[in-house]
Amino acid sequence: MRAIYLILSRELFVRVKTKQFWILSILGPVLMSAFIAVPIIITKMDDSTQTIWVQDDAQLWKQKLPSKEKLLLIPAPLKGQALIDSLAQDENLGLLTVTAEVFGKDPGKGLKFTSQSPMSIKVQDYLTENISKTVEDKKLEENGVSRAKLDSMKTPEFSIQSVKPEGSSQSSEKAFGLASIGSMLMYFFILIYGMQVLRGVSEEKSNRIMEVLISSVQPFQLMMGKILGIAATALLQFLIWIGLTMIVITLVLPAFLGDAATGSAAAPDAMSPDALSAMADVPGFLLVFFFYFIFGFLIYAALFAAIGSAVDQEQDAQQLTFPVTIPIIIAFVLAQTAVAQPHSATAFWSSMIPLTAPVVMMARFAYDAVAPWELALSMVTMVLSFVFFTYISARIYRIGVLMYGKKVTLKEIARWAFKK
Amino acid sequence: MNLIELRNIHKSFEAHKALNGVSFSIPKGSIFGLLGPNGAGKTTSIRIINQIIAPDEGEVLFEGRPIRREDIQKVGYLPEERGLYKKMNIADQVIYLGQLKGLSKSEATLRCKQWFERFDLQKWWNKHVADLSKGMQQKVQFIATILHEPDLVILDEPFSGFDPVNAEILKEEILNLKQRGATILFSSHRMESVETLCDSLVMIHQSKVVLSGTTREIRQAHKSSEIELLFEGNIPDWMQGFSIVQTEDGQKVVLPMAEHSVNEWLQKALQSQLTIHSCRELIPGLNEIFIQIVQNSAL
Repeated sequence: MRAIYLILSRELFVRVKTKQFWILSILGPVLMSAFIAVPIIITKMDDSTQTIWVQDDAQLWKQKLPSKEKLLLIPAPLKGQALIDSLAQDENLGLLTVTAEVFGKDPGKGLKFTSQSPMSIKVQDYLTENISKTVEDKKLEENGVSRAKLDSMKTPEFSIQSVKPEGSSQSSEKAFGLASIGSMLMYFFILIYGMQVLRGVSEEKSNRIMEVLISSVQPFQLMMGKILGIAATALLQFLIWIGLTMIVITLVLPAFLGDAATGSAAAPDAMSPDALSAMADVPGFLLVFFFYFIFGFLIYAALFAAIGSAVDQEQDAQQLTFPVTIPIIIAFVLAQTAVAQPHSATAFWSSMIPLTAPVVMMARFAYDAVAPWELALSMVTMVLSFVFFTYISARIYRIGVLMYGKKVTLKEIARWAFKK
Repeated sequence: MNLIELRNIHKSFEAHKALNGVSFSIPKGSIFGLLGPNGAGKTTSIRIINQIIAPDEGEVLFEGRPIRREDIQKVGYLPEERGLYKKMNIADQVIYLGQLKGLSKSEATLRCKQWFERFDLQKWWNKHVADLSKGMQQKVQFIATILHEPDLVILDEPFSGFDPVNAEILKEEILNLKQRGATILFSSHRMESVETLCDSLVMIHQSKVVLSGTTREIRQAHKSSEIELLFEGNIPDWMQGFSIVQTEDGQKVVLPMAEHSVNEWLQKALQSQLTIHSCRELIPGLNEIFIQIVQNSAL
């Protein structure tokens, strides 16, 4: 145990002392917050006003063109060649031509936008909504129906509330956020830190300190010490991320963005601060996350360690890492389907198979789609798989670390793992 | 008393038989040579003593009893291919390796300081491997090998890559270790590099022991019973029939001791009014002995 502890602390301290660790620790939350904040900030900061000339041949807008903040609509002041020249010279200028076909079955046929640059999606959304309403108003008027009357006949927008049998309500938006973030973080942490295990093992091999080490400690202790040390590094980094993200989201963002942060259409639902801060509301989710992170990492790290031990140089590892990275990538893809259908058979089985479970379970658990027995079964499977994969990997590792000057194939690795 | 004894060790890797019934013992407090060409099985033997790999057959005794896992802390090993961590300062590495061998952190730090002073490395304490010259790296590796004051020091090809000055320092330190009571196991394919240091030795060739004993015994047993005489003067009649080589320092002749003793040959030479520069009994080096054995076994 002392040996494993010594190796663990070396791995942890060597990594924590590097600049990269702190850069990533700070950059992670900053990037995550930026992911949320940037669309909002861009919306707020974009203060240039766009001008669109309108040639309203259909007499759609009788009184006033629907200008709004940052979008100026004015009747085209020029005609003929002069108009075309102006449009050719100023790329920020556009001309919207409206013909009578706008009242027809396909209103799009009555609309044409002439400009050097295409109409932005935001302007397009605004104009189509406005035009369709104006056309509707006009038709209503012709038929002698008032807008107020029509509105009173319409059913207002509504959503279906999800309720647990016990009665507590749950927000599916919140669940979606947790599921997405949870499975994504799981994927990234396992992959990034798993690769660090591979790199660490092949580094010890390529710089030839390996033989000194295994003449002092058993290969298994060396492997476990390294894996646990890197796991500790990853956990530390994760805690820093959570801490910093919470600070940024609860303190910095609201102060910076004001009320734009709430209910802005520009922020994707999954990343809305509401959903993010919801992570802290769910300690159960965090507990499950830590469990799956630790065991998922241990399983993958053991496999990465085995591969690292089999190659002389890290560059040679690429081919061999393929079979290990594929399952985690598949897990990430499966997690997306699990987000959409957390109760499906695919979601169930992929949350039971230990190589995909860590990532997929995050998605399912966030939706409360996991029965206690499912969770228990999956957790037991994870622990047993950890024992199994560590045993197999230790066998490969023991032989691999002494193997130099030979390009090892997967077949050979398999033989090391299972031979007597 | 033997510190280490290997008894009938067999070890195979796939189809390759690396050791085929190898036995030898290393007397306590001696400098022992494990010699043989590349691929003979030296490193495999060392790894078995180090418990890095287990023999297929046979046993290893440590102080007369079967070797145990914890004995590893009484062994210091400097492998042929040696290295250090690139991204860790050198003192930390030496202390870390000492801790892995069972030293407490404070004890390892203290000893590391003493050794760094002795090898004049203090100002490199916080440096990384990349900042060190190759000679300094080797000193650091040597310190890491012996920091825990092992009973058995295993040095695999210790002189390869050492410049003459550092090789001399290393030799001195090895003799110091011996004086302190440590047993030293040398492994080398360059036999002449260790023959002056070794008290006894074993030679391995093609996975088998082909020769073992004290260095003196072996050389005595393989001497060709000839003397080499270096002289100047007119070649006397009795020397006709021997091949005489003209060298820069004079003429050289090899005379068999079967006919006369050294003294008798010298007397004859003096009577013939020759000026004698030197006269020595021809004792073959380990290299020649080895080649002789290999040739004989090939017949």
